[in-house]
Amino acid sequence: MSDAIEHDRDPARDSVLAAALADLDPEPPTDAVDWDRLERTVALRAREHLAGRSPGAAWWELVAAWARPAIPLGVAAGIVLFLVVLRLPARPAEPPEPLLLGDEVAESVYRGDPGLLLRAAFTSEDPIP
Amino acid sequence: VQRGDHAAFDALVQRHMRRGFSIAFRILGQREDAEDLVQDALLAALEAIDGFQPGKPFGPWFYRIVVNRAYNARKARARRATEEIPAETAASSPSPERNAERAELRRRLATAMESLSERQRLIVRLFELEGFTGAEIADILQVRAGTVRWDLHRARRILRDFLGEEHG
Repeated sequence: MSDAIEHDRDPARDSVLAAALADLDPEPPTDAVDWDRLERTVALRAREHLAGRSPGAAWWELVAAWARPAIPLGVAAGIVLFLVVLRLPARPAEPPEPLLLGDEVAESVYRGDPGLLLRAAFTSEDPIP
Repeated sequence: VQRGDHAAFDALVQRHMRRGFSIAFRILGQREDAEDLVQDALLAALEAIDGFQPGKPFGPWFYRIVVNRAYNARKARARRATEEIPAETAASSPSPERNAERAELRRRLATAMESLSERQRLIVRLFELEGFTGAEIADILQVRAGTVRWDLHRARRILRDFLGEEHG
């Protein structure tokens, strides 16, 4: 077995040495321990201490509790908002160009006869001659 | 556990009490003392749980408490009485010669172990008998892994010299 030291990793376990040590040191008598009783005793002794540790939620615990669902909801809302903004027209709609009426139509309107104008509005006829 | 969760604490107890007991027994050599100590160490860990960093493994942190308390308990016990060293367990050897040979081997290995520092003894036991890695032992003893490997190397060389002399 190599006796050189390797600083960056553990050496292999030495079974001969382990056996000699095991013969010298009695094995921990884990079978003789009543683990259930030990566990109950510890739980009983710990109860009071644990109860003192949960005095109701402090404000930062409430914030922490709400933060968990609030963060994904906020992200989802942000995505929806982003999509809505993306669908909006890039520039505000320009005002419609003023309707230019032909002289004939304009004169008929001035005369108090909207017939030509109405006909132009309800047909495909261009009011601008 | 830091928020008083009983189930979480029970899970920690279940997971670590056996190994904690083994470590305590390796240092104290008595079952009842090791049982009491692991109980006290679990409660001490609970009381000090605010000092535990949640991202880190609980085991080494808890075993460190066990080791420190076991050393303190052993010192206190040594002050109370000059007893100590558990009686050699009755060996079921087939012959008186073999019995005598093993007894001599144990006596000489015990002498070799006594020549090691307390830390080296514990490192050898934790590594060879309890199966801890160098890094885990370093975490438990709060020293660097390189220091653990160096101590292990020196301790094993001393013990192997003894075993080689005995068997060579």
